[in-house]
Amino acid sequence: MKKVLVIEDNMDNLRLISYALQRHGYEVISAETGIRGVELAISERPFFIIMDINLPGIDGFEATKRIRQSEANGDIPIIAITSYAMAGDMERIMAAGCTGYFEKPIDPMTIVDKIHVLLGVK
Amino acid sequence: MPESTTKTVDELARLKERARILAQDKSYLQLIINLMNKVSAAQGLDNMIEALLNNILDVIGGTNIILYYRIDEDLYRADLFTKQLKLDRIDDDLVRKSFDSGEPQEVEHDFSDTQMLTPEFTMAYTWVFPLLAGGEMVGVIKLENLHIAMRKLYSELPTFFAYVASALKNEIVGLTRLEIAYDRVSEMNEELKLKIEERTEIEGKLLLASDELEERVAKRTEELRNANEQIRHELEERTSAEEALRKSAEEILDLYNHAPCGYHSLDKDGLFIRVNDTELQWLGYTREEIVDVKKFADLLTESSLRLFQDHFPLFKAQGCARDLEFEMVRKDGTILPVLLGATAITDNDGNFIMSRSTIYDISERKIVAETEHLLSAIVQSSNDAIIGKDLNEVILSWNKGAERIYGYSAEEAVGQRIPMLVPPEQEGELKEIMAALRRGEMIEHYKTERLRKDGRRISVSLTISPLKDAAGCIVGASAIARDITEQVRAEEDAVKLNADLEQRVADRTSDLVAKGRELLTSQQALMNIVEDLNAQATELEKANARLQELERLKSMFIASMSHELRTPLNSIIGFASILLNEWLGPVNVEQKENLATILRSGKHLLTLINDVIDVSKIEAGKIEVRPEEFDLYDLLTEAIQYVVKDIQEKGLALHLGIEHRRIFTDKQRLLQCVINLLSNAVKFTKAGSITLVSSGSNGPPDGEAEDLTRQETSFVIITVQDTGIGIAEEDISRLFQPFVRLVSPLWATIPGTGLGLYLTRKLTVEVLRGEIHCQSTLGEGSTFTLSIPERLNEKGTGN
Repeated sequence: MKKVLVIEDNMDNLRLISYALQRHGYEVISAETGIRGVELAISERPFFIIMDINLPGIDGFEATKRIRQSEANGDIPIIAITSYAMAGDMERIMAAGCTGYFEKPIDPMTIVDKIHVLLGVK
Repeated sequence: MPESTTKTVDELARLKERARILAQDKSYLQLIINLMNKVSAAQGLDNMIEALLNNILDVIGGTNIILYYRIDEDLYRADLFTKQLKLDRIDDDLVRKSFDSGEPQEVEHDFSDTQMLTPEFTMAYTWVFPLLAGGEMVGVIKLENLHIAMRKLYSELPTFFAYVASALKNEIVGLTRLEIAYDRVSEMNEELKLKIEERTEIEGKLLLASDELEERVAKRTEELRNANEQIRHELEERTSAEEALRKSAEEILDLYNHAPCGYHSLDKDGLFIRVNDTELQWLGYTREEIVDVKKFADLLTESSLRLFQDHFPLFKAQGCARDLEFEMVRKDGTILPVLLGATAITDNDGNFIMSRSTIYDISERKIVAETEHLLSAIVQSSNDAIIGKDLNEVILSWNKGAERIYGYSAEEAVGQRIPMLVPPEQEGELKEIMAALRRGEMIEHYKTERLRKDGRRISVSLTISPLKDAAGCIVGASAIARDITEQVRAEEDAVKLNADLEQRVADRTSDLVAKGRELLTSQQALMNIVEDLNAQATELEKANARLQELERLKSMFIASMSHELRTPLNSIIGFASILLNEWLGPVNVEQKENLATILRSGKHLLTLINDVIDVSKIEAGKIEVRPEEFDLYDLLTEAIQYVVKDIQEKGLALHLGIEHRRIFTDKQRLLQCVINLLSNAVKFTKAGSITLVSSGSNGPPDGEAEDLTRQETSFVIITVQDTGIGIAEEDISRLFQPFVRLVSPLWATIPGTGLGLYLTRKLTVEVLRGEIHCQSTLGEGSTFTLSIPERLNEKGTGN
């Protein structure tokens, strides 16, 4: 069973995304902080990572950079989830090393299909 | 700066200019007044002219001041170099013109040939001004080569020259013929008085001598007669006495012959029978040529002859004649005026034997009489009143001048007393005058008032001299009164003129002070305005700061709205979807309906929040424009994905006329607009079709050519057409306003935020730099046309 790492501090969002991922047959591992997320990304080597940008402590930009700097995990897809995008966020997300991004609200019915389209899976 | 402030500044400048001119005028007027004071301080005509010329040059400038003036009929000229030159005629054209016309003359002339002048002073100005006093031409003043720039300052000069004219006239009048005549009269009077006294004395002596002679002759005759008697009685015995008698007769004869008067005797026919040497000498004849040859009548002028012929028979009858004046003709033909007295010698029967006549040479007395006549004529012809009075102030003589000045005729005045001419309050003065006269003092040019017969008061200048008799006793006085009413009035006028000028200076000064106060008030007002403005500026700054703070709060509010509102909505929508799709187990129909309502409401709320945030951003100018290059076909296809499900559910037909076109604009915002238009079309269409068409264009679809840059731009036209309920024509204009939900029974059930078209239009115009239009027929459908520039430049404007 493929693992997906979800780094998200909001429990409601985490549960919602988890429902959608589990429905598509993924094992969900999660972290509530950026630091924890970077550790899990390196140790667990997930199939892809869903990264909330707005995190306590180090934010999603910083966490993404650190994951990309770890040579072993340099190629894991990282999908960013943002709240309503502000000017320049898009560029910053891509510059930090994300594979793609989705704006909230997340539609649990379509989000995994969209990620698959983005990653070219199936 | 506000308009009122500008106005005040202008006003301020104007007031300052006005104050400067007033100050200048004032000092100029003061100069004129000083000038008048200097001129009036000068005593006598010469001094006055000198003061006039020097001071005018000092104050007014120019190269020379020339004064032409008249004394009687004589014309004089004076300037700074020549004093009082008598002229035969005026040699100056301008001056002559002014004399003839009584008008000022002025002429500008080139002055460049004069070496003394500064370069800018090449034009000069010569002004000739008539000096008119009471309508009488006194003279003309010529100001040569005045500075042309001073011209506007000469406006007060006419007033000054009127004053000069009056002053000049006063001085000239002091030198008139009357004055000279009066002096002559006084001199002659004195001289003649002396002569009269002398003559009277001589005459008295003559008469005395004559009487004595008569007496002696009579006495001698008596003595002779007695002696003759005695001789006849004593002839024989006293022969020696003959010799004594003869001597006595010779003595008598000598006396007869050499008396200081003429003696002669005429017979009854008027023939000379005896004549003394004195008379012969007077007449230039020898005794032989006269005695027994000439009749008295032969030696008379024609008029005297008539007198003689009248009187001689009378004389012979009456026996005497007295004080008859005859003009005798000398041998050389000249006239000898004589006064003749005669007695007749008769015989015992009373028959005329001969006359015994005495004649006096009165040729000198004649001259005196003529002189007296002349004197009298002069006195009579004088314009001044010349009045004789005794010590009791009784009027003794009254000339024509007195009649004219006082209004009383000579008949009325002579015998009256002086006090009738004196105003009541001046009676004390009259007593003083009389007291001075009694002391033998003379009163000269005493200015006072007198009363005319008609009651009018006149100003007079009095000169009163005591009159003395032959013995030197004061017996009366002669008074000469000159009417100076006009002169006094002229002086008063001059004083008044001066006072007027002073008043005008005072007026202008107070005007100036008032203007100064106005100026201060204006300055104060200005300062108040500035203070107000400062206060307002401070207020504005504060308000601005508050607005900026509000703006910052608003941005913060928008950002937090975006996060805080979406997060719970994310959960509502997400979990409702999961339940509704039975991921967690089956739900019954009723539960599904409820979950669908939660989902629908959540989505509606999310749209509303997104719209509100977009509108806020646009209105705050905070919206970002992110142009990118993409294919319009892909964008339109994506937009359709959002509504295709609803179209299928409603059973509507979808017609597409879209083409591939690379465009460069804000993709997300264009997508948002197209989705909005499509959503509306689906929402308001129950049956029929939705048509989406895209095309290119070289200009805006409505052909407006107001903007040249836009005309050259290529445009993309996107049209969304439906067969829905349509919009009433009157509502189309309100369509793009915020929170407009058009009133229609068909709309009542259709949900909407009321911000959709408002936001679409805002995005189209302000982000995409395009236009949006709507054509619609109620009940048939609507067409929305979006036209945007094909390429939006990086700054967010069309190309």
